[in-house]
Amino acid sequence: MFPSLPESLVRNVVYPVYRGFRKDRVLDILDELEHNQFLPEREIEDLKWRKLSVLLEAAGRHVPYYRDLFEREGIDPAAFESPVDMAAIPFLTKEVIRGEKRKMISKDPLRRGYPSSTGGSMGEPLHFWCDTAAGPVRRANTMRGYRWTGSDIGGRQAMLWGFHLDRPLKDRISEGAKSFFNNIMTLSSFDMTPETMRRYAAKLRRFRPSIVIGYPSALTVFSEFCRGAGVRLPSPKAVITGGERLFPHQRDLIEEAFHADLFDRYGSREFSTVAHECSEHKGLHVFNDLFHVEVIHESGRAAQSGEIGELVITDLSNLYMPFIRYRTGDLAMPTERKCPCGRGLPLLERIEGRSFDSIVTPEGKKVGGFFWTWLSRAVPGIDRFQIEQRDRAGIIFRIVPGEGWRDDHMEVLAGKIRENCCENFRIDFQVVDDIPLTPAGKAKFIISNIEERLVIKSKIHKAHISGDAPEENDCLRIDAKLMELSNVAAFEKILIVNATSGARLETFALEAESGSGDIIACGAVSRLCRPGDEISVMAFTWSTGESGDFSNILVDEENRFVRYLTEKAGDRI
Amino acid sequence: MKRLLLKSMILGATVTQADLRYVGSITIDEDLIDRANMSEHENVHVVDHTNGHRLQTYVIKGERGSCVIGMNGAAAHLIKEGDEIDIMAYSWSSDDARPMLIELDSGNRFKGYAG
Repeated sequence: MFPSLPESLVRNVVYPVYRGFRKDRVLDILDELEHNQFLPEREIEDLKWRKLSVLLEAAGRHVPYYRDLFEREGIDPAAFESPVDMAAIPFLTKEVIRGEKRKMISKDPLRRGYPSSTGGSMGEPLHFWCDTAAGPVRRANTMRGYRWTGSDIGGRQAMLWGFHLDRPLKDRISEGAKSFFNNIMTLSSFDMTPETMRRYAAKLRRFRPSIVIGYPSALTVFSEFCRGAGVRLPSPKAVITGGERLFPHQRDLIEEAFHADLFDRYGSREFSTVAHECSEHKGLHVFNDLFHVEVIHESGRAAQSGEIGELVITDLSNLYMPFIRYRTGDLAMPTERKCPCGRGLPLLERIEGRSFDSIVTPEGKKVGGFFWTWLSRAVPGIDRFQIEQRDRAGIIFRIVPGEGWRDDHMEVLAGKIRENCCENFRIDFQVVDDIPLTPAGKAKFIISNIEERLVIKSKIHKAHISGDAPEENDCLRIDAKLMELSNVAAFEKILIVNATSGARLETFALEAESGSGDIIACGAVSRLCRPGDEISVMAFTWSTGESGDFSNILVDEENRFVRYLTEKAGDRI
Repeated sequence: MKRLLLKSMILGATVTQADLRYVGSITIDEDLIDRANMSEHENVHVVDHTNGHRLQTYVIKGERGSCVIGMNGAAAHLIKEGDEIDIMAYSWSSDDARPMLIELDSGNRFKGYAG
């Protein structure tokens, strides 16, 4: 292993020279941000409002998605008088970004961006673009947070994070060089066996980090292991946690293991750091000079002080692909309390966890993270919890008990759950010592292992093969009109049953001209389905429900739509 | 990890009717659908012990208590009245899910659970 560089060398020489070479003004921006934070709250609000106005104007002018949206919804951002008027703009979701793709990107020829994506450890990754001009702002902002903890530029950072071990060698070398010159050591939370944790501890002792950064759950496992095995840890200036909810007992345990103050922060790949604790530890300061952060209650209005709501974020620095009122799926509690540190940045009481996963009741109602997060605080003594669902009839509720836990709390919890889900909802309580982490080393508090059944969703009944094309790729070409009516997509897997010959086969569907009445057997399909044969085409989907929408259509001899069918046993046509 | 696991199986069913002109797929007595933890419109695999044919189709409900097992439409080419069949349904489930297996007597009445 390489020895690390002296911190002062990185701070005074390597870092300024590298930034000067990049000409990205990170250090100037850092000065500006550090000036901003001590402005009165009112002045920071004004600063935010000026940046917000610029962002909205640019989005409406240069970004096709927002241009269309503002026009369709009759929104005129120029008429907005304060951030409160932002409520007129519909929320932006991951689904919208995935669907609109390039329409989200600015046509302004002067704007540049770079691609990025979320890790996807908790679901499907999101691919997006970040403004090239926002990169240095994010770096400076992260540095602002580090300085709150007592660390500085060049301070040795050890990161226990979700680093994949199977990256290509080229990436590992370039990242390794970057880490070396920035005094960063990376440890993977994917790999947390007793042997690797012993090795991590030894590496940390040699490295003597100024700050340790990690997921609360991974640092908890690591701290518990080191305490139990009597493994010594170095004492950094601070520990920073992020990436998931931090529970109070985890804070105590991690602070004790590292003999250091813990600073929680909130951020994501989409935005980098959005909120950060200061040395007063009175909550997380929102970086109000860089983001417009709203906390939206389940009912759709802004959450009041002490209520739980979803974080909805507008990034004031990303004009290349604007995130305006983006639903993060993360829950938080706002507060009106002021921090004695003197910074004019408002506080969030705490980050509560994620709201995307939900539990399904027998009637199909979805009960999301809001309820379960609230529930975990409805009785004292729940250190950690996890809810797993394997079928719609009920759940497994795992509890790691802490101070104040009594077994009769289970009855209280069961009552509240049944009130919200259904009377006979099955609740299997398990009081456990520990809850295992996901492979990435994160804690997940709702796990849906609900079984999915394969059910029929599309059928074209009594169709006739109108022609064949043995030279084409194997597939069935179907009049696009019939595909639309029966809810079959291009390239969807279909089952063809031949009522003339009895043959049955699977292939995929492609479109033939709409309204042509064509159903053409292509490739090897033409061996089993001959022109004139009567066939039915079926397509299936995965469902957790009893039975979903079934688009079942009857067609005539010329493959023209006749009517929708509802089948009962014994019906004849 | 979710796996495609056997969820339901009806063993030793006898086909009571097979008609090319009937719409649908496989008609199963609703009692048997419930007992086997199947559902209407669910995809099933049907294997014929009498002639070796195997096919997949989907379930439609037959009258409760009628003991009907009917092959409708094109499937009637392959599976005939009087044939002995098994009917299976799979689901995406966690590793330790266990299937529901039911056995029928020669009159398609529920005989018991099979291991």
